[in-house]
Amino acid sequence: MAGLNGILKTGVSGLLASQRALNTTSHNVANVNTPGFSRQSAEFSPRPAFGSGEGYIGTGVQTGTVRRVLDQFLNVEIRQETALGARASTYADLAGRLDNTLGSQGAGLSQTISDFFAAWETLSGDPSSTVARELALNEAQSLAQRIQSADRQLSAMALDVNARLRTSVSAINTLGASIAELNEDIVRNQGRFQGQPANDLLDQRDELVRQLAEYVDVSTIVQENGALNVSIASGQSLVTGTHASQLAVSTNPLDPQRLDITVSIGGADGTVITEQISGGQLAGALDFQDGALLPIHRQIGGLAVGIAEAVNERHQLGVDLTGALGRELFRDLSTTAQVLAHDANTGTATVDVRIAAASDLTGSDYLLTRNGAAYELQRLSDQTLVALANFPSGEDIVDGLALSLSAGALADGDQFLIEPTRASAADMAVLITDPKSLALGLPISANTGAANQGDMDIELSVNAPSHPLEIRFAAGGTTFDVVDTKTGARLIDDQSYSAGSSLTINGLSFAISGSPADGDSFTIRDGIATLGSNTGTGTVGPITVSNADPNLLDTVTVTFTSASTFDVVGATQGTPTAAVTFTSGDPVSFNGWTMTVTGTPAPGDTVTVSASSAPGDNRNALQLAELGRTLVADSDQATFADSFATTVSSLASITRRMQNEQEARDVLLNQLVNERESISGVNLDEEAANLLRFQQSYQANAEVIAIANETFASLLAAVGR
Amino acid sequence: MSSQQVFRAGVDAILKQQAEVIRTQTQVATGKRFSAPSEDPVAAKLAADLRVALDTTAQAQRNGETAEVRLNVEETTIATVESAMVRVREIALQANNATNGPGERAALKSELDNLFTQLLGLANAKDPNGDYLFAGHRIDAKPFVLSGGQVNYIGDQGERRIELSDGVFVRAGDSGARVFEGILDGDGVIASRAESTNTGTGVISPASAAANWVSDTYTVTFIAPDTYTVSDSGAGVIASASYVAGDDIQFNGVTVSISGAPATGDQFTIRPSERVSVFDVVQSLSAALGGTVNDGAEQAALNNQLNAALGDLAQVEERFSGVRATIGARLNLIDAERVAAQDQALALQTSLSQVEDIDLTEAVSNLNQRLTALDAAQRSLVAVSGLSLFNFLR
Repeated sequence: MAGLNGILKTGVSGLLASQRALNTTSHNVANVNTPGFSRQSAEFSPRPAFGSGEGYIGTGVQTGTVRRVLDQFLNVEIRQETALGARASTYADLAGRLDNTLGSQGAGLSQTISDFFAAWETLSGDPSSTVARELALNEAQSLAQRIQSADRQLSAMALDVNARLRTSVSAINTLGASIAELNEDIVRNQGRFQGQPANDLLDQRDELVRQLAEYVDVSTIVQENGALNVSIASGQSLVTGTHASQLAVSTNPLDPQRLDITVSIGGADGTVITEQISGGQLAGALDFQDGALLPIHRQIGGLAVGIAEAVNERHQLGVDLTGALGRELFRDLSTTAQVLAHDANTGTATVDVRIAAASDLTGSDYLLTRNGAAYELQRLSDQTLVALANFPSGEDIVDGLALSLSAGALADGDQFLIEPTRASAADMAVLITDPKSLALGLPISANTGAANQGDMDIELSVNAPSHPLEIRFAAGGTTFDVVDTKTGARLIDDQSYSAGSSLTINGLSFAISGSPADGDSFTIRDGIATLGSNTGTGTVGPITVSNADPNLLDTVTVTFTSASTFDVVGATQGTPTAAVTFTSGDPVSFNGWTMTVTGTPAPGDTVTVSASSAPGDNRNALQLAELGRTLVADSDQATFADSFATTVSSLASITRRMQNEQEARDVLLNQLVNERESISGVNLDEEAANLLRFQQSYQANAEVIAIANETFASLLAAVGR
Repeated sequence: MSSQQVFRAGVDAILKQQAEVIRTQTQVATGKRFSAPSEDPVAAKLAADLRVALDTTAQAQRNGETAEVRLNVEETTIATVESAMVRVREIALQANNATNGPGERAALKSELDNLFTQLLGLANAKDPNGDYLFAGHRIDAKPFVLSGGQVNYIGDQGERRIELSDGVFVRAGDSGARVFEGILDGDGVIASRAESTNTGTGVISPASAAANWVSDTYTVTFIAPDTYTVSDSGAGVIASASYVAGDDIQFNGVTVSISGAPATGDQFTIRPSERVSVFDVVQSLSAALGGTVNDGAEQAALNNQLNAALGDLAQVEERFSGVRATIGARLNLIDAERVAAQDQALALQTSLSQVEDIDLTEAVSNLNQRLTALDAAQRSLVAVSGLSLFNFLR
């Protein structure tokens, strides 16, 4: 084949190759701004040489293939980093929004809480002033409104999270379908041209997979025929060859406010994959929901319950301007615990959960399950089983919650989700509208006899039902003492014990039964009786709580029979009443009040405790103001204001952490993208140089053809006749 | 290095600088180091805590002011009461002059009755809020009521306490019972009285009791003009002696003397002090001045009553000065707490400022730096993206 014809063919092959190279280069230049485009280069190889006795003579060039310049591993890394970055950025974005609204307003809510308690302080200076009473009532209103508005913001965020889940799922479905279609095109095209890579389709597919990683974590496997199988959420198949599965959102069977993500393959019922999702916007939204939104919602609800419980208890021990005992200032939130039945429950049970003691709440949700004959209550925050002693036949009090079966029965496998405080904040409201109804005074007062010879100072307080009591048996279990461990007052001393006898102390009613042994003790606190290291069989029966001692308002006269003893007349609750030992400064308690007498009484001196209602009385206002400084929130570790500040602060920390993670991921992703770009990206300067190079080679090859032509022509001329 | 990369790197740099400029600009505009808690969670929590503490001190200062107003009004009122009581004492002393005729006594009585009315008015004084000062908690009802010639206290013994700082309370006022009532008569331990039925001219001195005296009611009875017996409450005679005018009579730790000429059957009582009110004291003085003085016996009765009244008045004065002293002490406490609260507020304010305020000079210089950097980023993007080989292929 050597010869002039060969020169021509060689020239043409060079011309065609240069043309292809120019084509490829201009394709690169054209796609300089196409996302996901990988630079292509035409690959040349010499055509098989023509062998002869004179050696092998080259026959020109051929284009082997047009190849994408890329590093597949980089693409995989970028995809992973994209998924993690999108998770962090979605989380940070949502948390940042909550932080901005709730956080800045949250500082405000701490402020509102301390303002509310400060209002009682102001009132204590001028308890009869209607203006000051109006102001305190306004502070209560604004506290309730702030808590409600925080609740509304949190609920709105929950809806927003769900909306994001729906959007992401629909985006994933679209991308999955597109990838499946591209798979089909790629398989067909590559099959048609002997496996030549369909570069641009491959780029498009890679870009779609990268986009998919924005929504969910992705892994891929390339098939022999060029198709790409895509799985999401740790191995759930999304695209298999040319088939794409459908993702869907469904309502969580326990909690209708939550959405689950399901994947269904070929019309089968969806498999729930919510727990497996670890990357992308889906993971960001789900993790924000579980890690920030719900805990904060529960905490704010718990705070509302705690404030309402503590303020109401104290307020109901006071007396208002009309002379009536205080009413509830805030709506009672103890019945706001949500009990959600699983959709698949077959039993008829109605489970009742009441908040018995806000200060004992853990901030966790609980799962109640019937497992065969056993009833299991799981605390979800630490996945611990909490023992149930009486359920379903009686009431159990665990972690500040009173759990009972109010109707029906649980079938085996039935489940109930208990959310103690998530819905509580929404119900926060002020029930009192008349400023006269604020109970700033105490309903009883102590007055010394006009003819008293001695000098005494008296402080009187009303015992709340929440005061912890200690019952201790002595004398071989035949007598017992009762001590109010809050005031230190001995309420009952050496009373002889008869099994089953019921007691009413500080508004708590209960019965002791069985045979207690000497030294046995019981502690009653927050509606629960705890046994000491007892050796007897004594038990404390069901405890019922009312607002105050029923005999609180009775007139009780204490008459000193000497400087160190006194008799008591008129007391229904409290023993003994005759020849009681008096020590100056020690608390004396009867009928649900505690009195501290300091000084030296003379024989015959009297102190009378009787019902009182006086407009200048500020004693209960002082007690209410004191609540704002008492460590009653977070298991008696923090004040109410501080508890909320801590909640906001933890949100701020989460937000900060997520923003930091987002920044770190961004840096990593940028590095990877840069690396990819430096390999696969189009550099216009390089392409310009290539254009010149290929143009020159085109011109040179054209010159070869021209020369071959001229040579041929001169040959023709030489032989021409 | 792809062309897109060159462009993107430039744009990224600009965006980053812009974000920094906006952040610094917000800092300069608000004067605060952070606008959302997440920008500095620790400082945000600290700032919130400090603000609550600052509120608490402000509230404590307001409480102090409330208490101060009430206590100042009370002190002024009691000062007026005291000067009235000085005049009452002068009247008692003037009345004790034997040269007074019925006209003088009538004039003194009339002045005393006016003082009584003034006293009653002062005891029923109101504070600036219109609440009765000395009514205890029953601030809406006039606490001292004159009925049937007797002043009754219908307030209670409640006393409003106000919290100055955590756990520090001050009584912002005193109940009427504590101020005007329950004063021990005599010398606060023991009192001597002459029976109103006495017919002689015996005048008993104020009694004094030794620390170990036997507390009881004793009666000195003259069984003859020159002989007396002392009996205790059980009617048992514990002493009997012949009478020498002006000599000390001593028994069971009690010392007393009688002067003048008691008649047979005259009795004098020495008893432990009893609780009386200011009004009781003034009223009995008035009653004494209203009596007739026609003979020696009536003069002696007047003298006995005036002596008793002067002793009681000394107790009354001691009561008022005592109450004023505690008011002074309470005002001092309020002052001390105010100074402490102000110091604390200043310290808290300083800490708060350190936690959340920016250093303006630094922030402005930061802003300038950021603006320069932004400018540089923008210029370099233009410069770098303008570089293209295609520009030279013409």
